[in-house]
Amino acid sequence: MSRKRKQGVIIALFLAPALLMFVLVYLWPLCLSVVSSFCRWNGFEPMTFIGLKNYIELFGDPKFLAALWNTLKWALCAIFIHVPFGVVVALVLSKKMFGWRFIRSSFMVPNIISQSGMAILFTFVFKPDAGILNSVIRVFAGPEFNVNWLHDPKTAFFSLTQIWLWFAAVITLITLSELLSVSPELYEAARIDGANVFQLDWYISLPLLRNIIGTGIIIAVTSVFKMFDIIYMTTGGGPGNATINLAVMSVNAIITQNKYGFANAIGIFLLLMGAAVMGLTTKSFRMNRSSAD
Amino acid sequence: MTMQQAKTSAAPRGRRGNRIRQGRAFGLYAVLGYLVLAFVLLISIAPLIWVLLSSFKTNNEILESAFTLPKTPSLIGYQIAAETANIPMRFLTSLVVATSTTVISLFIYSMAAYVLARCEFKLKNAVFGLLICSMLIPSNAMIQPIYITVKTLGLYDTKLGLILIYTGFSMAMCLFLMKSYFQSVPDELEEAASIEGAGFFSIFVKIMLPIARPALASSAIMTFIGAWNELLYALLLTSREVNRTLPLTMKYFTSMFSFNYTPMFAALVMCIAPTILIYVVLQEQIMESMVAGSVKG
Repeated sequence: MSRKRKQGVIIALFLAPALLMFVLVYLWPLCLSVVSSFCRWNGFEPMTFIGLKNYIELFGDPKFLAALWNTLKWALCAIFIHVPFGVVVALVLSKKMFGWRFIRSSFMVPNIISQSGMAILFTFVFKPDAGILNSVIRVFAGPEFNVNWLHDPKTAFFSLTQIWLWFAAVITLITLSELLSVSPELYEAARIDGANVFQLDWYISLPLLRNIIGTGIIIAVTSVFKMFDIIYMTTGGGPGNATINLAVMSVNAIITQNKYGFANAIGIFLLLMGAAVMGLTTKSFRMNRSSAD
Repeated sequence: MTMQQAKTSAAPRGRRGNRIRQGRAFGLYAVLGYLVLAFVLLISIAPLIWVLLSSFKTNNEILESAFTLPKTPSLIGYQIAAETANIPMRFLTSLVVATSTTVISLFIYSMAAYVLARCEFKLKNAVFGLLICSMLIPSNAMIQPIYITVKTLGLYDTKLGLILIYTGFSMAMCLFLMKSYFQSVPDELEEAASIEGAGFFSIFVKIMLPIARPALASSAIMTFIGAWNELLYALLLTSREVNRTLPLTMKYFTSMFSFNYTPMFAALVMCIAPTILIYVVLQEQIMESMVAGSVKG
């Protein structure tokens, strides 16, 4: 009996630090977040309960609607541009053509350096005077060509979208590792039946990739929700509300306006959106995630 | 076209498992494939090379043309950048924060993962479920409460505050990676060791941890990269320059160097070069970790 108790103590000791971390970084902030989203709170005075007013203010805020609309557009870009692009690159790489290892590694480089590094790099690329993009275009379009990519309301949104095309590399990586584990006999059999290489990809590889593409969509869309660094370091949400999202909006509400309850209402909204995407994708791809044991 | 076809069908001979290439349509596929790969290479490497080359040019050369090589390559940009932005010190701050985060994460999550994988106790599934919930809570949904929590703990504007938060963020991924690894270890090892009189702690430290090295390595890499690159909380939880990490330092480049491009480019190179160098050395391991980490975490 005492041995069992001793074991219990050890188990508790081993779990305690992780549980403490969970309480400090997740549970307590979450409670604070939920409670204060129903309160007026600026950090100096105690919270006062105001019911749903924060949420009502939020839904009436044109910034919020713009942020939501941008997030939706970015999520669609992620699903219909980034994920397919990542999968196509993986399919090509899986043929192990000359230099495939080098290209796979290069594609990952922008994902290894920090997002703020990427953001600064692309503020250089997009600079109207010295940026390389305008320089390249001027070669074809003449020396008068001048677009301020990140600060022109017409181009800012897509310039930003383009910066995170590199995150498709993560999709490529997971898809590729799945593809390389497919048994070669499967392709061999199809090839003997007369399938060409396009048909192999379309009829054999893609159906096998259903689960991993679903996972890829979850990763891509949740990373759109998390997007902060690149927006904050390049446009800061502007010009106007052209590139704002919920994270940038809530940081601004905290830093410049001290509207804590309001910021937390945004946070709660983000949380629910993330959960919804996860549920929807899991359902529509009929995935049973192996990690869920 | 026939040349292309002849080339590609000759090339794969002798390599394993690549009979796919011999199909008739492969010539066309190869052409399209190489176009895709060339595009990938262009977008991932070209901007980096341009920044690297520009950092050796003078400001006028940069403004005149983006394509010329530096006429007289000079390191003056690096000198100005190192002095103005104090990049070596910022590098050290990042290193301290990311390393501490990694060490602490490995320490506490390996213990928790081990117990969750190998011991039977009441509430086991409840505890695991609870800890994994952390995966569902996006880190930027709780910006303000975390800010307040860190302030209340007296850790605002300290490296410790950042370390605490980053350690929390690596929780779900570390637990997943290490728990599934511990579960795959056969029971006989533990039984044999305990027959020989080894206690709970020594089994964990001397037998299980060394076996789980691959999972520990993956967790360490992902945790380190995450902490090294994080911007949002570095921005919110620090104010003095000593506690600025590299990603945060980059935010001040524009105001620091105004329109002096040479040192700005040099500063950017100094910030990202170490990461790239480490990646070149450890690339296989890093890519494996990213697959494991992003599918599970």
